[in-house]
Amino acid sequence: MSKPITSLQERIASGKSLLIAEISPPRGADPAPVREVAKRFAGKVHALGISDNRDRVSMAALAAAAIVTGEGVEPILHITTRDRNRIALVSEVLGAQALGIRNVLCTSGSHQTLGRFRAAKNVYDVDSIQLLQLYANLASQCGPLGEEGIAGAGPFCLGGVASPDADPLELQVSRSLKKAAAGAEFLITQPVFDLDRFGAWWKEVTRRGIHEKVAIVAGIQLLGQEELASVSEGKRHPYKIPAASIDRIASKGDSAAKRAAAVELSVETIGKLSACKGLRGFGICGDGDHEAALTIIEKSGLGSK
Amino acid sequence: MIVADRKKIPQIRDMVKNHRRVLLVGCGTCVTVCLAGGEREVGILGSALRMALRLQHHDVVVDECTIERQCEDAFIDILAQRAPEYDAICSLGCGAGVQALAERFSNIAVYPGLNTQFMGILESQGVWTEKCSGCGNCLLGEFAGICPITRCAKHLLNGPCGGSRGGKCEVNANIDCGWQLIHDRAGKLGILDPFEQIVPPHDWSTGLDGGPRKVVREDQCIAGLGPKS
Repeated sequence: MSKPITSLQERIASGKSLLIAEISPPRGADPAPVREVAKRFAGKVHALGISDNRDRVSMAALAAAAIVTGEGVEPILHITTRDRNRIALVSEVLGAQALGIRNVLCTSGSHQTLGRFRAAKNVYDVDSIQLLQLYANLASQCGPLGEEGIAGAGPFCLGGVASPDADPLELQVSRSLKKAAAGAEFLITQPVFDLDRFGAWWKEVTRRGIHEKVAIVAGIQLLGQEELASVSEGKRHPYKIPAASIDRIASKGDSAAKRAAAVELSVETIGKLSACKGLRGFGICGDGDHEAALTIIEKSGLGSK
Repeated sequence: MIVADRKKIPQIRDMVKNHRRVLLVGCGTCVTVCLAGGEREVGILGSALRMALRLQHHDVVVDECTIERQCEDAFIDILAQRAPEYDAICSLGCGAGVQALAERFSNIAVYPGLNTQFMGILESQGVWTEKCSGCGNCLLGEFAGICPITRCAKHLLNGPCGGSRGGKCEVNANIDCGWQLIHDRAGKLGILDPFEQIVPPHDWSTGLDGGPRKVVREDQCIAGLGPKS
């Protein structure tokens, strides 16, 4: 195999466990908070995912990823197909490469009507699978852009999202397979709360040998105040949060107790999922609470080695 | 058919309130079938609009008529003599009808009385749903007769997004997930295997992204009469 293009890719190839954290860039133009967060995660994770305007407008993920790189942390740049057509998507990844960013997670992104930018127009020119394929072959072919390949473009260490809770299970599993075939080297699942459903999904994933084609990392998200509030408002989530999990946290008195219970739930979930043979690691998201994410990493014994 | 629904009365009132004589024009085709802009709806709007204008002391004459089809000039002919008596027309046709009237009557203000929604079907009494985006390159043969471009909120061609839950779309629990429908129907037909293959990016240039479209049937054109350009 040729020389790994990123440390993450090297880690994936090594077969060792993976530990990723995810942050959202700040809602503003000040680079200082990005630097601070990067410093906190430095040396503690193998890579830091940078979300792309997840549910509100924030600093460009590419800019945040470049700042993170400057702090010595390897970023995973998230790129959604919601906001850019194929022209902008290719341009974006070329810019990433120019800035030394080669880990790219391709996702369709949550529909804009679910965020605070409800009135915005979406794009969805290509889907996440088509984007993976486009990025994976950028140097040799650029057919969807009506052009020859772009000399020197890539290679990238590409990833995608897997959705254990989403339906229909059969097509969700086949989408993961397609992502691997399109060029994904890693898949991060949507946050796991429903272990029974994850078990059913994992059974199908392993039956089809997808975990042997692509490194699958389980997403762990802190059930924070905002998340709890949205559940109580009846907002739909792409992932299932069992009522028992919500009650367990909501029943706690003050916000400190709720936070502690949420950390405990995440640590427990990691413990249970660790029994899944073939699962390559975890992607931790503190949902804005980076210290909680670090506590989850520490308490679950996942500390990067 | 083209499905539309009527704008709110205050909105229509505000569009026409500064005119003296307004002609409401209904259309006898799609919008009659979807109960938005046929003869009956023109009558209802006429009464409501006259009342709304009078309540605000606007002295506007509102008359009514319905033609068979607003999207064809031959049917608009019937208005040729009458229209110049008015300084505004409020069309209860779809967006095509409104523009056809505007093209024909260049000296008369033309307003839309409806919001044109989509190409769709009558799902059940009083409920219409969108089925076609008019993309100019029909893919229904490859997707078990269910359109992923129209029925999936993200126009995904390679399967459902991670927001499909219990057969419903992440956008809204009242929207069926198009990919769940494709999956279920393809399963019944025994044609799920092709969905394991990656579908390449779509060519959107045959749709509106390629600019406003025109269909020209040379065999139907009459020498000297068209197409216009």
